[in-house]
Amino acid sequence: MELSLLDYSIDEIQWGERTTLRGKSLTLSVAELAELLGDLSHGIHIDYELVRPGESKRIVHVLDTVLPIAKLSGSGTTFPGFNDCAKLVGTGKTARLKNLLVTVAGRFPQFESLTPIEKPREGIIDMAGIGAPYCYGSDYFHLVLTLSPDPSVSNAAFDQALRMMSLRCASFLAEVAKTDSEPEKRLIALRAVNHDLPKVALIYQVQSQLCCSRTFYYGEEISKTLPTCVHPAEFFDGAVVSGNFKSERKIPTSLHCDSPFITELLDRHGESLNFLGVILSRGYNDSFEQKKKQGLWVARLARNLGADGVVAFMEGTGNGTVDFMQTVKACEDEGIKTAAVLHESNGPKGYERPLVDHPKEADGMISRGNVSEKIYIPPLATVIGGKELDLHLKAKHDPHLPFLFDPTIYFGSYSKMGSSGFRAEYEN
Amino acid sequence: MVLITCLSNVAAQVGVGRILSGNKFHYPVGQPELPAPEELRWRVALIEKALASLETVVKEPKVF
Amino acid sequence: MIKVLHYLNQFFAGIGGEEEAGHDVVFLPRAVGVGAEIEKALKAHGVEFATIACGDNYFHEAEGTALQVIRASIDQFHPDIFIAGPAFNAGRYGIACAKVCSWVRDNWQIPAITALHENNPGTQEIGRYVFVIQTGASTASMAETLKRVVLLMEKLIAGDDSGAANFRAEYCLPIPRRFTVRTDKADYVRAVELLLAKLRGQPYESEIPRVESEQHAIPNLTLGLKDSTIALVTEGGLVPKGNPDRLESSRGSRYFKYSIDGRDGLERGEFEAMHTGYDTSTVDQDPDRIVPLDAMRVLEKEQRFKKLHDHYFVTTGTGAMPSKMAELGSGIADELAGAGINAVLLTAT
Repeated sequence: MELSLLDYSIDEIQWGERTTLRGKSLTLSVAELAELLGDLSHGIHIDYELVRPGESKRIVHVLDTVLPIAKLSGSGTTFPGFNDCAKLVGTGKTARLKNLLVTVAGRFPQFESLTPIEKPREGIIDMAGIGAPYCYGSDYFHLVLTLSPDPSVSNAAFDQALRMMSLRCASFLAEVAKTDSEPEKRLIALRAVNHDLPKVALIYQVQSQLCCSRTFYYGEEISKTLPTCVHPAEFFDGAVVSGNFKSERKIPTSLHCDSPFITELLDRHGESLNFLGVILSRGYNDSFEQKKKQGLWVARLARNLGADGVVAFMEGTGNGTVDFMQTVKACEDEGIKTAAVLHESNGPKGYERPLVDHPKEADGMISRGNVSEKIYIPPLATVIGGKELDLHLKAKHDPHLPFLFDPTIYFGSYSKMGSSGFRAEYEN
Repeated sequence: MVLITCLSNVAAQVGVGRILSGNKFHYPVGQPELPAPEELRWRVALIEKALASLETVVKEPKVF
Repeated sequence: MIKVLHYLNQFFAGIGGEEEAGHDVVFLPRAVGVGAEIEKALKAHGVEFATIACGDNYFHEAEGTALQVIRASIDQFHPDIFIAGPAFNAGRYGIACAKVCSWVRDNWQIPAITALHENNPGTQEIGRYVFVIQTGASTASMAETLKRVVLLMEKLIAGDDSGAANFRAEYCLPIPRRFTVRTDKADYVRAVELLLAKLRGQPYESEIPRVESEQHAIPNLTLGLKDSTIALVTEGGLVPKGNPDRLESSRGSRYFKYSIDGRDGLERGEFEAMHTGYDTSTVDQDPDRIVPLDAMRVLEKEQRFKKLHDHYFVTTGTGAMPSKMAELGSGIADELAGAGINAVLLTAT
């Protein structure tokens, strides 16, 4: 099984009459976008904005970001399970606009009637300044869709609409007519390699619980499936889609289809290791026994794959950490060595226990940094996507004013802190 | 003190003396699948177990 | 002109002794007491001093208000450097110095200096980057401490960052806390490298220490259960419908108690759960599923225990810092002990 990626990148984005890519210059047409999304945006007003890396812009109420990907050949369509009938993906050719995101921002129409656990969390993207290394998306171009639903739209309908619109928009952009644009070519495959190389699998634990905190695999909620083995190429074709609005700790849809963990293991495949593939599992199981079982099943899958070791990371925090640690423990108990990546919650003054749960088997931890440390956040010149920040249900804040907050205000910050190289250390 | 929780391993790590595993973390002392009278009977049995743990001498964290 | 703002308690500001510990915040546009000695030593650098004086008890009891007044003073005076104390081993003063220094450093990013003895409980309230000069246990070390304050301030005034760092290493209390630093390798790279080292039998270092919790002695009942009064406590955020006291749905900042006197169970529609960490819809349908009042009443009638306390206690745990929850737990324990409660049944989600 192999997938050819055609990676186009842009260095310029602007509005124009027709949507087209010329060299590295992307022109977008509002009229074409409005027509594209017309049947999906019933009762929802859409404002379109363009944002570039380095601009002094702050995007607020970010719900998701989607990478433009579209299949040119091979089975199925990108983001399978949402647009078509079930077909496997991960073969043939897929075009991508590598450094552009379709970014959806907005607030649910009946926000107050969501239960506390369902309520989306505030997430902002600072394109410049002190926050940029903490926000996922700060180094991309963005087409921002700011959604303003009528009060008559239900939460369930809004949830579906924002997802369908962003996925359709992303596919449309990847299929745009291209002139004088040379893509970089990349092959995603797990070819046979020297069997002396250590065999490594990737444990990919997502959050999937209920509406507004769920993740989809081929359009099915992962809370309703068993942990399973997934070929890396399926990720690149958008087999995993996010419906999780726990902003700072979510894995955006665009990151699911462009995972640096998968890329790192693919790059080393055949050189320092034999990458066996990905085990997709889920955290936030409802009871301790279920968390233990999830761990045992994942370890069993790793053993069946023949893994000598696993790299593991998770989406989420809190009780999802327990599922994660049960997984790490179960692997170590099977003799499968683990390297597990996690953020720390050492408190604003650095004194608290770093992790919610830390069994002794988890002896190969990689830190993403202290996510409860306060940062002084100055304003940026422009705010897109809303008028007020929701400081996680405790207060409102004017996004044009400075404030002191921890990285949990930043969209996708747990993943981004990791990829920015942050970690926590003892300091006097 | 007796703690009824789903996350008994975390409770033991922080040194809670008496720990009882409750039901799912959305309803630690509930069983919504059962009709009300049976759910109450189940809950009474669970709390009885919790009370019995209070009568047990404990020197280090114990899951009952 | 370098501006220095100096925080002193009522005693060191010359307002009075313990009887003035409740004195509120005062801004004085000059150096006072030991501040005047520091000012004199720094004369050559052209410093302008101002002082904040605050009673130790006042700060402890009205911290929010005190900080508001201090904020107004800072926004007017625009200090370049902030000092508090020295507080030596004085507990309330040391905690106030530590808190104010940390708050100033966080909000204005100016250097903040205090001076404490290593046993001062204020050392548990120090935020990042604050300088905590090590002192002796009493004012006997005042002269030496002030010399060191001046030494540090000279380095800060000169913009000598490495000098300040050396000073920290030599004269400041080592208070290890975990903070974020930036490395030049992403987490996914370090993770693969750690795994390969493990698999090759090479040395590797786990980046997150396993921190053992302080273990406490576990109390056992001193009387029979039949003679005991039991209280119900929960971290599940269950409050009367309408959330009259505005309990937060994550990181509870306070605990509350609500009457269950005369109730044989908790009725749907009269209570609701404020908690983002679990799906509250099931306990909203029957709140006994988080605070098991109905079951407790059955067992109370059977005289399995003597009496159920007439209030249940509640806070919201999800996302909270353990130290804050320990503080709330102490508060609840104190109230329960004062009310003659012998045992607690605590539910958590």
